[in-house]
Amino acid sequence: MSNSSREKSHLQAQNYQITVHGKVDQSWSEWFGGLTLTTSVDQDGTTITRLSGTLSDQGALRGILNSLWDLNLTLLSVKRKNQSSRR
Amino acid sequence: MSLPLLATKFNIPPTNPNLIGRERLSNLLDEGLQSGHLLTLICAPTGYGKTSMVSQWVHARKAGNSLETSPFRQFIWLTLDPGDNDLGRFIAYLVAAFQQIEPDLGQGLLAALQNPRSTAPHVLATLLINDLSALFEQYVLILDDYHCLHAQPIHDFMSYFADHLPQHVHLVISSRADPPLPLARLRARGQLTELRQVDLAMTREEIALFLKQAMSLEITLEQIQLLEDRTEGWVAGLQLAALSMRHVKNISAFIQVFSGGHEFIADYLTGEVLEKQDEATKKFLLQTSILEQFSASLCEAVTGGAQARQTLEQLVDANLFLIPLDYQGEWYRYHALFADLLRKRLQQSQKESIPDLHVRAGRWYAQNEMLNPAVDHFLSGQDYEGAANLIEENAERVLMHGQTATFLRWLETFPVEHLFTHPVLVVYQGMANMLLGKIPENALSLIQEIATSAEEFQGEANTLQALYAVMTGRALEATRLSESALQQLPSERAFLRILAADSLAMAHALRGDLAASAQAFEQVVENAQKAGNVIMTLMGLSNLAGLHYQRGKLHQAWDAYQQVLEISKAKLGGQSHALGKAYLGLGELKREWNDLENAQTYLSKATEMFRQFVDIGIPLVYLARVRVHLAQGEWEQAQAILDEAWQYAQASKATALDDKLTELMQARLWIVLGDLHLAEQWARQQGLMDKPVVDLSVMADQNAMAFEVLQGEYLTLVRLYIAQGEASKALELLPVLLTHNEKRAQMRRVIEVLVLQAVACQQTGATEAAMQSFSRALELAEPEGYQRTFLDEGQPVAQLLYQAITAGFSPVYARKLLAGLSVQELSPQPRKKSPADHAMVEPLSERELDVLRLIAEGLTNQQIGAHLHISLSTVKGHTSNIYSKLGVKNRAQAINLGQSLGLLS
Repeated sequence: MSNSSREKSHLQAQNYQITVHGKVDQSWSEWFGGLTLTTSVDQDGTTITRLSGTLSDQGALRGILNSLWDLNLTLLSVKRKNQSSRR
Repeated sequence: MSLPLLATKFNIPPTNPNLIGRERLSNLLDEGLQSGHLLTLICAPTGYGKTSMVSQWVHARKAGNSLETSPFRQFIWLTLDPGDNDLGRFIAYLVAAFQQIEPDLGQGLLAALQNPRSTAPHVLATLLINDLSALFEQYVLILDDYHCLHAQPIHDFMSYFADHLPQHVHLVISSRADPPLPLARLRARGQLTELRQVDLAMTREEIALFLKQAMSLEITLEQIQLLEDRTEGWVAGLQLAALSMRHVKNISAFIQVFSGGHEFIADYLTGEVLEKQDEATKKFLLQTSILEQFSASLCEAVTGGAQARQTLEQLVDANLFLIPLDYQGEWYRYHALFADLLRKRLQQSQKESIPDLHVRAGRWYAQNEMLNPAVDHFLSGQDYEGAANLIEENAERVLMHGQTATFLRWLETFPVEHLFTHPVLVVYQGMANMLLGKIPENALSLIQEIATSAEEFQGEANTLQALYAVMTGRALEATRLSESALQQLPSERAFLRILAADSLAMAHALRGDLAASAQAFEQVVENAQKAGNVIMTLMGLSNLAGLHYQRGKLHQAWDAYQQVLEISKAKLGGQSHALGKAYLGLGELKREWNDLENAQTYLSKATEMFRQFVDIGIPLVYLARVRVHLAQGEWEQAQAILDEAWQYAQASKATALDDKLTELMQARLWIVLGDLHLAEQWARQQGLMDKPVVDLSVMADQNAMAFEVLQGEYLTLVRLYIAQGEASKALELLPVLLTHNEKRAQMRRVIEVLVLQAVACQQTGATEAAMQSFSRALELAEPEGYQRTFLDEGQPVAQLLYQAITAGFSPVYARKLLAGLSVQELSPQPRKKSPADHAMVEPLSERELDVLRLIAEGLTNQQIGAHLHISLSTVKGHTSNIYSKLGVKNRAQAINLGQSLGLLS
């Protein structure tokens, strides 16, 4: 896709960081689009897991949010990180 | 008793002539297949032409199949919808889709669904994978609208399926979001082809072609660029825009107007498109938008107007997002996006008419005997009475096809007050919950409330309470409740009466009253036959046969099992859970009658049948096979099969019973082989030697099942004592066992205990007492032709038989038994073969040598399978052959012997 009109953000791979409540093991990664899972404890002492990495598009993001929902995990935040290289 | 399926779900959607060909995408699909990828994922939001492009590809390649340019492929299509969120129903459709091409495929899988206990998803997936592995052609399975699925059991099924897909089956999934499958793993292994939003978006060239060819619009290059910019290549947006542009003078100005998100564009453009229609068409579109799919007849029922066929044809001609679902022009659906927008407008403009539209659709479906959409529409239209009546009529079929999830989903939406006039539904709801292994709390309290307010529903309440009492092992309550239910339930409640009779039979069995239980099972069979319920008939018959066997009535057991065989063959194409039980039972009977060859035949049929069900069936069959090998004097083989039984028993986590029975068999085998110290160690670990016998009496009165297991342990202990020459200790236990078995008319056990008692008495020198027990055993056993119960005890029984013949106790029968003893090896020769003089009877095959070497390297069976690219069961087959050829019991011995025979150098 060479032309400039395709430079719409939702058609491109983007970096995301999704935070959920509780601990989710790295072994789940392949169920979450290959995102990297890191568990930590935030300031108020609650355990959170961050899923971060690149997702191809909104369909991929939606699939991951569906899976989190199915696993009954509490979603804390979804952030798009603005570091994807613009072509 | 089958449930009708919607044939339109299997149809490959006809090609839409108003769309352009998308060679670019077809080529990407081809590449995926050619590079051996297992899964193709087509993931994009609605309106990107997912379904069109796949169906276009399938049609083109099907036509190309005849040209022999690429390997011949069969295409199997299944369109999913939200109603498929029931593993039972999903599988029914999946199998039916395959059966369009392979009519015999999936019989076992369908039979597994009729198992009243729910089968684990991965086991069901294995059944399908096995069936597919046996096929030779190349298959492409297309699952369209995968995002409709959200039931976890289906995700489990599909994950396992996708992970173990045979090489010749390619899976194509189209979905609006990434499906919950291990995509990252497939991607990393290079087994995944992805066509995503960015790929499906129309390129500028495609847009130009589309406007020119399909829509006959003359448009400038600049305008195309503008359109591409605004729609981002979104196919539905372009279609909508093109439809409007036909009536627009200033195209550039029109394009400038719409911008923003897809939804906004769609909403705006749909408005534009709708406004162009005449009032009648507009009304037709809005009213029929409540339908997932429709035929002319259904549309007429819903709109109340005539000539729907013409209207539909006009809509197709006008390219109004009408998608034909078959090739006869009978069934259609709206494009999902268009349907959503129509529904939104219907909601805004004629909200109050919606329930009525649904009810009309429900009635049409009910008249045409399509249960699921009928119920769904009645529920959407809040016609709970209509829905309740339909569900009540069909509940038996739905539940008996394992579609418990559908059933529970229906009932969840019911307002409680409507259930007061339909208590049967509450009973089914509770039952469905119990089938899923859950405690039916809500149903129990609701049915109690209903019965309190309306006396005439006491029978329904008692039925559910009885089912629950059986589930929780409360035998006395279950008896009382099911007896009352049977008195209270009117005759038209046929299915409930069957359930109540079944509870009563189970309750009697739990209490150990085998005669009463048998009588109740006869009732179940009779009622089920009258009601035409094949599955309950078969379950009743096989339970009945099992009871006959325990009660010592071998010939009656034989007849009942034969009936199971006949009915299964006639009504279910020879596949049912009960059939596995029947083969096992027939095998056990043949073994008892010392017809060992036929026993083996039945038992291997049983193994085959049980492979399709997760159950303790397989370990039980293996234990029966161990007994046959023991009877044949094949000690090594007996051990090898027992080792396999262990693996199966440990793998099945549903119950500890199979582990226990396998343990018992091992102890028995040790005793036969003379490894008495091992058997004694086992008995000590069980604490059998210190357990006071009084415990047994208490146990016998409380819990029939636990007593049976404990009795098995004590009988093994008795054999150990006899083998150790300590028969007096055995004689402390045997009278207690005899009393309880006599009390419960467990005649098979009575005979077994009497034989052991005779053997023990003989050893202590109490010859007279020995003959007293023995002659009684002969007398009881003769009419039913028992053999192995005598022969299995070996040498001491030969002596007793001589004495019985001399004394004139059942002399003809005793002679026959003696003849049986003389042809068999009476006891195993102690195996003291030293490796040096060990001559192998049969050399190991190349493959077996490979397996042996891998065993020596310390690989597990799984690893060996993976290494040699063979299945786990094949590995086990090889190891069992190796063990029997080498005459060893386990891996360590196999390695030792293999080394000394120079096989591992």
